[in-house]
Amino acid sequence: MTFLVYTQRSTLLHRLHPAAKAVWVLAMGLILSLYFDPIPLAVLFLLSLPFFIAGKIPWRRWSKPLGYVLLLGMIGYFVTSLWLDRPGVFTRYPDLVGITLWRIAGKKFFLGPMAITVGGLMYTAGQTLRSVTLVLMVAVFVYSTRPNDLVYLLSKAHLHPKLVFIVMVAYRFFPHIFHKLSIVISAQRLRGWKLTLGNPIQMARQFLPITVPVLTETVRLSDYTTRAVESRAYGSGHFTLHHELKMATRDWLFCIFWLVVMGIFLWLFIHYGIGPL
Amino acid sequence: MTVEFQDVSFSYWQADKPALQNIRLQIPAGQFVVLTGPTGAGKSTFLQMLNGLIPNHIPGKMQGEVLVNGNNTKQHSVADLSRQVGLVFEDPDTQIVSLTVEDDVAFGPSNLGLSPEEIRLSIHEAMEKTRLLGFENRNPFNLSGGEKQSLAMAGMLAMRPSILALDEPTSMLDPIGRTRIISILKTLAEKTNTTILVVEQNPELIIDLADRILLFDQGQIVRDGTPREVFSDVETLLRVGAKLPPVVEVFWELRKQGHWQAELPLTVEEAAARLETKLQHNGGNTYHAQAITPLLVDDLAVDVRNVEHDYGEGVMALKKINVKFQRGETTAIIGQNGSGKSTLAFHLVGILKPTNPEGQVMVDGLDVKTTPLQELIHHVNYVFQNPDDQLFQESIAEEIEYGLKNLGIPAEERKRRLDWAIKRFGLEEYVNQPPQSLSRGLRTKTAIASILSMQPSVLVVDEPTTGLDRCESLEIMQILQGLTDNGTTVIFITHEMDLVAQFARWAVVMHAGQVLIDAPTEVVFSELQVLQQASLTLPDIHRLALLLGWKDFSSLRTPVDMATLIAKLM
Repeated sequence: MTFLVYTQRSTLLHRLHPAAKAVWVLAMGLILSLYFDPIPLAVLFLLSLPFFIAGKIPWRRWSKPLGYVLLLGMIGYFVTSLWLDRPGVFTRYPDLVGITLWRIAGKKFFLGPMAITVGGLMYTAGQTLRSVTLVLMVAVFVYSTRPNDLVYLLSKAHLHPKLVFIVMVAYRFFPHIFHKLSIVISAQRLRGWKLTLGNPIQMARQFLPITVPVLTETVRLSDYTTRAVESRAYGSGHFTLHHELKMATRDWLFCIFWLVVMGIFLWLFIHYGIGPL
Repeated sequence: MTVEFQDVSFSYWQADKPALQNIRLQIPAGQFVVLTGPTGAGKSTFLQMLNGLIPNHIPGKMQGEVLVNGNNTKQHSVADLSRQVGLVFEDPDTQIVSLTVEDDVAFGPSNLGLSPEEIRLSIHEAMEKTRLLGFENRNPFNLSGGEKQSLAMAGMLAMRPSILALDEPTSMLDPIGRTRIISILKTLAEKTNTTILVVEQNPELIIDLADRILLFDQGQIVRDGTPREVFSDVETLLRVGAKLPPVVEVFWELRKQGHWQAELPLTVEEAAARLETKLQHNGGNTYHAQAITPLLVDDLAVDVRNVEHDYGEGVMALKKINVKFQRGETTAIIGQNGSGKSTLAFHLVGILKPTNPEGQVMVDGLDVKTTPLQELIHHVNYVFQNPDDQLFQESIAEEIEYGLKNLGIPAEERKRRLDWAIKRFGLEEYVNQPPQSLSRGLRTKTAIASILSMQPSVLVVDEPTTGLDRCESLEIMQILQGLTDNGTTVIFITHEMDLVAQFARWAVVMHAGQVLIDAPTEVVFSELQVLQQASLTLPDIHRLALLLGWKDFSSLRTPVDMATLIAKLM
């Protein structure tokens, strides 16, 4: 999970004010929460793509985790879409539901009717695009924003210091916990641990050898980190930065661009009903 | 007085006995104080009282007052006291919160709300003192252990405290890292008026810097004096289970044998100077140690051939490694952090596979690359450095049985192996207790017992003595060494060169992904240039022999061996 780590580089995204990037994330987040239609989502993805590229993210390092996200997401959404052939599921394109490409099971099937439909495929495509855009955006934000700048930004937003601390610790320790997870899995595999199929309770119990050590480490880490940051005067009051953090013209232009994009997408959603399937 | 403890006692919440009892002492400004003693003696609790973590953050019952520069710690927040006391913890990874070195050093001053100019000045000063200038934009997680601990110190120094307290700052470091931290401490002690308090299990590392030693045992300070005063009281040190500096151990042994009545020397240099005249008089500097006993080389437990491991992005962790491990022997893998020790060890158990097609690892004649893990673990297994990476059950007995159940061992045989492991590791008293409630030493024993009960013929143990005191370390190492009597091959990774000398028959020295030497320990210790290349230092007794001008000292194992040899020459 090294792609979710801040990396010191000199790129357009790294130079942007964190508040400008926060506007981007919030604007995109709002649009993504309203849109399911893959066509506008593809437009949104294409609009973001230049910024992903401008961040000079190391694609070789990122391709694997992103590939997993894409694959797992697609499988999950596709399986869900198999049940989306009932009338009324799609409001904007109700006819699509009727175009069945392959009926897998009829009404008498104990899980209900299942079919591959054009609507289902559009749902899969839309959800996958949402996931990829969201993961890329968050990853690029984390990759290009200094943790201290984030603390500063959140403090300026008058967020409670405890909440800022949670964000900071998550930001900092996410990679560490994933590293720990891989160690614990190796340690238990060497004790003969393996996953076997069973009922949900049996399956959940099989994860105890993994979850208990990882949770113990998470608690330990969070306790020690709390002590460490308190020992460094965290939460004592006004947080300052040792470098200038001012909104430059490029930051304003970046904000305006994404606010305009958000405005257009909201207008299309409200006036033309574009967004839902 | 900079620090004053007025009859201080403290008990952790729900603890059976107090962590500190009736501590009364004063520390003047600029003093360098070393706190030593066994684990659980109260040293870390003492340090956490200095900046108010106790009682402000850690719950418990506290009596008495702690004054820091006249401020009562009960009446000030930890954040307030952080301007006075910089507290550096054992594990640097838990203290680093930012993702560039410069930002991390800036974190404390930023929290204090200093102006950007003041913060930049503090950063520069702190980085200069900790020799981190030039590292500003580096990611802390790509630093070496010593550099990370330097960063943790810089983070504290940037807040310009008058007191710097360090809790076992070298315990997780390799020899290079230790040297770096000690050198920084030396500079701070010499060039600033900072009051420095260091918890250290290996007092020989900083004995020449210390003005004062506090010996802790069961929450009390049982000795308080200059290094010479405290380390002359060997009976007390041995009674509480504190580690003696190896040269003190040598001369204490000489005294017990009736060969030394004078004051005990504290450092290798002092010991050499004292012995030189005595031994020269007796012609001792021409001593040659016993001949090296050759080992059998035709019975291999593990054979590593041409193994490479490429982590990608230009990180080649192993470069055409060829190394053999003798059956039934104890072998140490030594080297700096990042030299490839753990990567090599992971290949032995199949967690990692060679990334080159011709690379091969054979264990008991099985090719690790093609043998399924479920079968391989009957032959070779691995104990991770941190026992908490594997412990999850509600009792030690269940923990030891877990692997056996997974292997499908019948109940009767499981019971037999459980009883054997409990007895072997002396865990009878704790068998029904949850591992998480026990000390690090007992958890380490449980982790090793749980793997060993699976009866692998090769056992790989990663830094088994990390976080343990001297007594616990020796106990674990003696158990591991004893396994070879039953034909088990024991491979352990360590930074403790004295443990290598005492317990390893073979040693593999790694450096930059390569094996520099793979030979009997005696041979390895005689290859000074190789050790230097790997930035490894000889144990103190070997350094003493070297200073005495002995030609062959590599077969020395323990301070007692050294004392016996010296006695013969006197």
